[in-house]
Amino acid sequence: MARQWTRREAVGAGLMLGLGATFLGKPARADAPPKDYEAAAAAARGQVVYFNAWGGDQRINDYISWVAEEVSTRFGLTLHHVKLSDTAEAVSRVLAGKIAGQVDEGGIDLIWINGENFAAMKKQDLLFGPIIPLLPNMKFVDPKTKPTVLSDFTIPTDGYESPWGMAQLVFFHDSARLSQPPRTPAALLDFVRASPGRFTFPAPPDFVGSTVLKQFLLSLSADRKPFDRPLVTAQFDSATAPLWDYLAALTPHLWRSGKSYPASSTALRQLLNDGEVDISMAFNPGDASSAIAQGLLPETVRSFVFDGGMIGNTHFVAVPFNAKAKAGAVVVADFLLSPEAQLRKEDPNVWGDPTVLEMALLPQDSQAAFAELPRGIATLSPQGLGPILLEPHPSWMVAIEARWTQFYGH
Amino acid sequence: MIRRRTDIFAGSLAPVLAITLLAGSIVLGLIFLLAVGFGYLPALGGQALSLEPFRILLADERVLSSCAKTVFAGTSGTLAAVITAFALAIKLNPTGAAPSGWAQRLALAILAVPHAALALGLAFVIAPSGWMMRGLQALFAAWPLPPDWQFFPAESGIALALVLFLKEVPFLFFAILMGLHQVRPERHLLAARALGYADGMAWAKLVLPRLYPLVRFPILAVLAYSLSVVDMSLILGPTTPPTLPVLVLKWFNEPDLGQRFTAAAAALLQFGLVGGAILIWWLCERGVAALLRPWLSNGIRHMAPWLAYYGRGVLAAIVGMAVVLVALAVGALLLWSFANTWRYPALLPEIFDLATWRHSLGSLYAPLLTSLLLALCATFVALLLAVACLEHERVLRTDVIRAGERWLYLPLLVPEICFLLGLQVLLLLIGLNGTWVAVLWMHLLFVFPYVFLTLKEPWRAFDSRYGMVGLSLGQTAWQVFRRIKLPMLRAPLSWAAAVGCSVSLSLYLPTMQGGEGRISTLATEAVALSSGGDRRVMGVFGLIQTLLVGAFFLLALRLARPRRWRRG
Repeated sequence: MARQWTRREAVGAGLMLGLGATFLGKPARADAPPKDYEAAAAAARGQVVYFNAWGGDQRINDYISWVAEEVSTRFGLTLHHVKLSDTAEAVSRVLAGKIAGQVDEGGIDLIWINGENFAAMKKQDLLFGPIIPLLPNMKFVDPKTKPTVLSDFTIPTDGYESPWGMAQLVFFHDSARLSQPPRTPAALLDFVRASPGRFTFPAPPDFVGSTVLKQFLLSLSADRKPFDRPLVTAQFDSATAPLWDYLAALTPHLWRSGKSYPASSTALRQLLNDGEVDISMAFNPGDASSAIAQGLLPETVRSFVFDGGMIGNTHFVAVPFNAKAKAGAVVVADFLLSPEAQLRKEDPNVWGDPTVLEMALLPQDSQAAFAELPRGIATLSPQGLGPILLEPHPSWMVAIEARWTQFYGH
Repeated sequence: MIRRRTDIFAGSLAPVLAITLLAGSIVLGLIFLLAVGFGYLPALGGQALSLEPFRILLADERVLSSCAKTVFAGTSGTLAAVITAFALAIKLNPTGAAPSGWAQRLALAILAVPHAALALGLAFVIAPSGWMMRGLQALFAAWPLPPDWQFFPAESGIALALVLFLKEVPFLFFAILMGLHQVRPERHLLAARALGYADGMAWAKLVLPRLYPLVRFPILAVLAYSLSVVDMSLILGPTTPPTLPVLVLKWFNEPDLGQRFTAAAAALLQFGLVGGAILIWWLCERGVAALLRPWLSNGIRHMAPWLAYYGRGVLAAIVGMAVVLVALAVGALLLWSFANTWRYPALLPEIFDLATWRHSLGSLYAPLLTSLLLALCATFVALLLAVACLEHERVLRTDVIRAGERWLYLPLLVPEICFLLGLQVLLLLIGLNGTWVAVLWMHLLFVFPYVFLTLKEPWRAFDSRYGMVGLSLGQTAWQVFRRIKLPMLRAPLSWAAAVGCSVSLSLYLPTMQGGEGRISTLATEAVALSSGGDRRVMGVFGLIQTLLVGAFFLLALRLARPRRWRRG
C-alpha cells in the first residue's frame, strides 16, 4: 500500500508542478529561421506544414488538397489541411502555446486569418514575421490599387500576413421571386414593410452579421471620416444614430419578427434555398455562383449590391510565432500568391475567390488566362460590384456589436 | 493462501491510476479555469486575482436570459425523458426479465445517431420550410411560400428541449433496464401480489424506490449533458441570446484575447449552473421521497383505473410521436445525402445523385480508420483499467474505488469546456500536445466513466463461488479469471466495449484539443464540414457515424447472447 500512495503522490506532485509552471507564463519569441526565400525553400524540403483553415466548404477543401499536391511535387514538403469550424480555435491553440512557454514546437504552421483574429494575434505577439519580405510573388501585388492587401480592417499588417484573396460583401436574391432587389437601405426598408419576414441577417457578432450592420452604417452616413479612426466614445451616439434609427424601423419586419436570427451566413443561405427568406448575403462575390454550381441555391439566384459601394477587405495567411515548420509555411504562402495558384482559385468552377494580384504586373500569358476565366452565372462584374468601402476601425465594430446586443440580442 | 493465489490484480495501481488520470486531469483543468476566471493569466497581462471578469460577465444583458433558457430547455428535456423512460421500461419489461427485442433494437438505433445529425434532421422536419410543412402544403396548398411561424419555437428553447428528449430517452431506457436486472422486480411483485397489490401499484411502491438509486447517476449525467450541450443548441437552440454553453464558447472564440477572462468566468458560471441544477434535482428527489413516504405504506393496493387507462394512452402517444419524429429526422438525412436539390415545397428530392457520397467517401478513408483505431484503443485501455479496478476492489476488499468512485464520473458531470482549456496547456507543458497519446488520454476521460458505469454492477454481482469451485479444482487464479469469470461476464463486457466505442466516435472537442487538429477523425471532419451548413454532407456523415456505432451495438448484441460454451 505504501508504495501505491507514494506513487500517487509523485504523479500528483508532478502534475501540480506542471500547472505551477503554467502561471509563470514566460513570453516567448522564436528566432527568425528563414532569412530569405532561397533559405526557406532549401529548409522546407521534407518539412510537414499544418495549414489551419476553415473547413466548411468542400470546394475550398478540394482547392487546398490541390495546393498540397502541388507543393509536394514542387518543393518536396507535405501540407496537411487542419479543418477548423472556427478560426478562433487555432488562435486559442497558439495562445495556449504561449502560455506554456512554447518557442518553436507549435502545432500550427500556417493560419487562414483576417480582421479581428489578426489584430488580436498581432497585438499579443503571436505571429512570426514580417513574412512579406520573404515572398517573391508579392511583386505581383499592388497596394496602391488594392490598399486592403497591407491593411487589415484599417490595422497595418506590417508584413505579418500574406494576402490570399479579396472579399466583398454582396447580397443575393432569388430573381424568380424578387425581380427588383432593393439597392439602397431605404429600398430595403420598403421591401421588408411590403413583405414582412422575408429578410434577415446572421446574428451579430457573427462575422457577416456584424459586417451588414457596418454596411448599413456606412451606406446611411454622409460623413464616413470618423470611422477610419479609433472610436472616441463621445462620438459614438451621434455618429451611429442613423444606424439605430434604421434598425428600429427595420427589425419588427424581419424574419421571425427579429426575435430570432440565423446563426451564420451559411444558415442564412440555407434559408434562401428553403424559400424562407428572399435575400441572403456573403463575404465573397462568387459565393452565389459557387452555391448554384453545388446545388445549394436555385439557378435563378443573382447578386446585387447597394448603390455607393459595399464593404470589402482581404483575407490572408499568417505564420504563428511558435510554428515548427516556418520555412515550409513561407514557401506555401508564396505558392498561394503565385499567378498559377491564384488563377485556379479565381476559377468559379474551382472556388471563385477573387485574386489579390494586380493584372498590370503579371506576365502577358497570365493576364490572358485571368481574362479568359469564365464568370459565374450569378457573379457581378467588377463594374457591377461598384466601389469597395473600407472597413471601419475595429473599435467601432466592437461598440456596434455591443449596442446591437443590448437592443436586439437578448 | 487463497488470497495470495487470487491476487493477480491486488498489487496493481489501477484504481490510483484511474482516479489520478481522470479526476486529476479535470481538477487541474478546473484550477486553471478558476485562476483565469478570477483574472490571473500572466501571458495575457492578468497579474493579480480580481473580480473584474465576473463584473463584466454579470453586466452583460444576455447572461441572465441565457441562463434561464438553458435551464428551461435542459431540465424540461431531461424531466420528460426521465418520466417517459421509466414509464416505457415498466410497460415493456415489468418483470425485469428481458426487454422485448424490438424496443431494445429501436432504442439502440436512436442511440447510434450522432447528436448533431439528429438535431439537423429534426430541424429539417420541423422547420417552416421543412417536411411537416411540406406535407401540409401538399394537402391544403395554402402556403406557396413557407410561413413565418414555427411548430416548435427555437427562441423559447422548446425545439432544443424536444431534441434532448428524443435523444436521451433511449439512453435512460437502457440505464433503467440495467437497473431492473439487478432489482429483479419479479420477487417483489410476487410478494406484493400475495398481499393483494395490483401490479402497477406494486411497481410504484416496491420496485421504483429500489430502482431509482441505481439510475440516479445516469439521470444526473443526462441533466448535466443537457445543460452543457453545444452542437444541438447551435442547430435548434435560441439565438438572442443563445444558451449559456454556446455563449461561453463564443466568448472563448472572441478574437479579442482579453475576453478570455470573461470566457473563463462564464465557464465557471456554467459549472455553477450545472452544479446548482444537480443540487436542486437532488433536493427535489428528497422532497418527493419525503412526501411520498406515507403513501408507500398507506395500504392502498390499486391505482385509480383512469390513471392506468389514460396513462397508457398518453405514453403510447408520446412514444409514438417520438419514434415518428426520429424516423422522419433520420429519413430526411438519408434522403438529403442522396439529394442534389430538394427545395420547398417538394416532398422528395427533385434531383437525386451520388455526388455527395462519392465525394465524401474518397476523403473519408483516413479519418474513418483513425476513428476506428482510436475507439478500439481507448475502449481497450478503458476496459483493462476498469476490470483491474474492479478486481482490485474485490480481492483487497478495499474502498479505494468505492470511495473514489464518484470522482471517476467527474468527466460526465463537469461541462467539457470548463476543463479542456486547462488540459490543453498541461499537455503542452509535458510535451504531449498533438500526439496520439494525448488524444487517447482525452478520449479515456470520457470513455472510461461510461465503460466503468456499464461494467461495475454486473462485476460486483458476480457470484464468487464460481471462482471458489474453479480454485478447488486446481485451477490457478489466472485460469479462473480467464476461463470462468471473463466468459460468464461476456455480456456486460461486450456492452461496455460497444458503449466505449460509441462514446469515442462522438468526441469532437477533446480530439481537437488533444491532437491540435492534426489527428482528424470522422467527428472532427463532420463538425468542420457542418460549419458550411450543407445538409447533404451532414447526411452522409451522420449516416456513416450511425452505421458505425450501430455496427458496434449489433456486434455487442450478438456477443452478449448467451451461448452454450461448455459441452460434454
